[in-house]
Amino acid sequence: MNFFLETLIGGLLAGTMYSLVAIGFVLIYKASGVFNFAQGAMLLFAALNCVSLQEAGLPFPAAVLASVSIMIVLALAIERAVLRPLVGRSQITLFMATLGLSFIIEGLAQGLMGAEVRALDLGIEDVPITIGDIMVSQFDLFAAATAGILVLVLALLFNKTRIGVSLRAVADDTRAALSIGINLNRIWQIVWAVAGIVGLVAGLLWGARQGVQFALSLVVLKALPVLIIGGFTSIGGAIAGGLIVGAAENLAEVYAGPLLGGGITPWFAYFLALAFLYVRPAGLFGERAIERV
Amino acid sequence: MTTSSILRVDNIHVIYDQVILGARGISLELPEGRIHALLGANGAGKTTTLKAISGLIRAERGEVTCGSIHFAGHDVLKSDPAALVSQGLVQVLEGRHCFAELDVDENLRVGAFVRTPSRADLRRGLERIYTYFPRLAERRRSRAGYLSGGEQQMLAIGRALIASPRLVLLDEPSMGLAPQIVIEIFEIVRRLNHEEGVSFLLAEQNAAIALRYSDHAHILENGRIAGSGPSAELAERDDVRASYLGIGAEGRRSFREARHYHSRRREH
Ligand SMILES: Nc1ncnc2c1ncn2[C@@H]1O[C@H](COP(=O)(O)OP(=O)(O)O)[C@@H](O)[C@H]1O
Ligand SMILES: [Mg+2]
Repeated sequence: MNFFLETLIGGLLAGTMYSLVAIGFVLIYKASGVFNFAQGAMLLFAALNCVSLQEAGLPFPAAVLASVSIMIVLALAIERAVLRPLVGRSQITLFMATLGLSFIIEGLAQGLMGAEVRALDLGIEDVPITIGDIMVSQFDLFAAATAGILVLVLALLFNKTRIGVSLRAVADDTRAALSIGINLNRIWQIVWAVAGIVGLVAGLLWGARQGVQFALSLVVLKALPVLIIGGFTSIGGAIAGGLIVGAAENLAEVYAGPLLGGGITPWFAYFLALAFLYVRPAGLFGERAIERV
Repeated sequence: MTTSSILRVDNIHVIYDQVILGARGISLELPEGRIHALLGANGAGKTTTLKAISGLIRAERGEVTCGSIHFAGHDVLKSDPAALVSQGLVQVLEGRHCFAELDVDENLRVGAFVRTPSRADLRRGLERIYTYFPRLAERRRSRAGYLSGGEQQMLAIGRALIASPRLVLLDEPSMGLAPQIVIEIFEIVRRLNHEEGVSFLLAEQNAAIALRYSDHAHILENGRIAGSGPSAELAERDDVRASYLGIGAEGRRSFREARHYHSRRREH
């Protein structure tokens, strides 16, 4: 029983890392109706920035602050150069644009900062600690707590600030938002900047675990099943989806893995997502798709 | 006259997607403090005209190809909608378009943000709207998506008014609503006009109610103005009565025509 609980809790904690990646997608999808394929590239770019600055001698907090500023500048640039000229185009056009964007950002990141694997030390050792008689990874706990705090901050932003309420209004009905004088360009800038910052946090956590390298941009592929399960339009869905994928993956690996010859983690999340597609095509918390002006 | 008109539209032509004609040569003038109406069947060009004025047309790949639009003496043809709202020109969209996931209070608040009000101003603004729409006050914490059609129309109007506009473009406020609710809404429009001096340009397929509550009206057909005049006079004209009020020399419209008209209204 303890072993089961350990597996479950380990999975849930790891799942929060998936949730983090998925939240970046949901933010942008809700506000601008775009499936942002470049989210993975943004994540890689942010993490690379941070380690490079740290290697250049900046203390960690300063490197993080500088990376946040860089993500804000990137968001402004993307809004101006990509979103604004393409306003009103079809979803597939926008998707293709973000596909192109992801290659540009990845190329830029590696060109400027190199392609080798960089180690990132957040000062949290990945050793298990015991709570009661259950062993959990200290790093997983730290990652989950970080994700939790981030979600709390986002919830406060959306519900308690004017910008947040405007953001929800845009996500809800873009035309109506325009008609009452909400500046869509500014909202897009803010959302992309927030998604960039969420990407930075996710990138640092993933980077600390598996090294900061090109493969980091592929965690996007981990977010896809999470989004299918949780729905593209709900942050709550992204969280739940991440937890479900994390827990199911871990349990399946431990209990079903041996029967299937092991190593089922890479595809099990997709298998689960497909199963969900049959039952709930819009995801657990999915709403109707929003239409962008 | 020119100096006191809040809105002057001169011979505007509007196209969508670079080909589809939405309006061809619309001119109108609205003196400050008045209520004018645009009447006409579905597809006549009422919404196009309103969106050309508010600048929202550009978000639908529409474009004013010639003519001019002046609001409070300024050329606003190229102004963006947000700038116009903060200058006091706001449109209430056809079909209400409340923010369904936001509650009533949030819907109203977000309408005020364009003016960057202080907290105290915002509170006063909310109370002002709730005095005009007591039904909304009762439902402050309900999500807009759960309101009735009439309440949503009130919310859409309240959300526009909280920005203290001088001119409101009101598109089909009666659409899909029960007759008593329509009267309730038009009474509030009249009060806002009398008590606060807000000017209204309203688009309506329901000519009977629009003529009753407006000072002056224009009849649109195929993107052109087919007739204009003081509302009271138009309401007495035989051709208007026959085509737009459903009352002809031979009595009522045929049942089939009337039914066709009503079903079109409902589906739109
Ligand atoms: N977004 C749009 N794209 C293309 N054509 C449009 C669009 N909106 C309206 N039209 C066309 O413009 C004409 C006028 O429509 P509209 O202004 O909506 O009329 P009304 O509001 O009087 O019902 C119609 O022929 C309609 O098909
Ligand atoms: Mg219309």
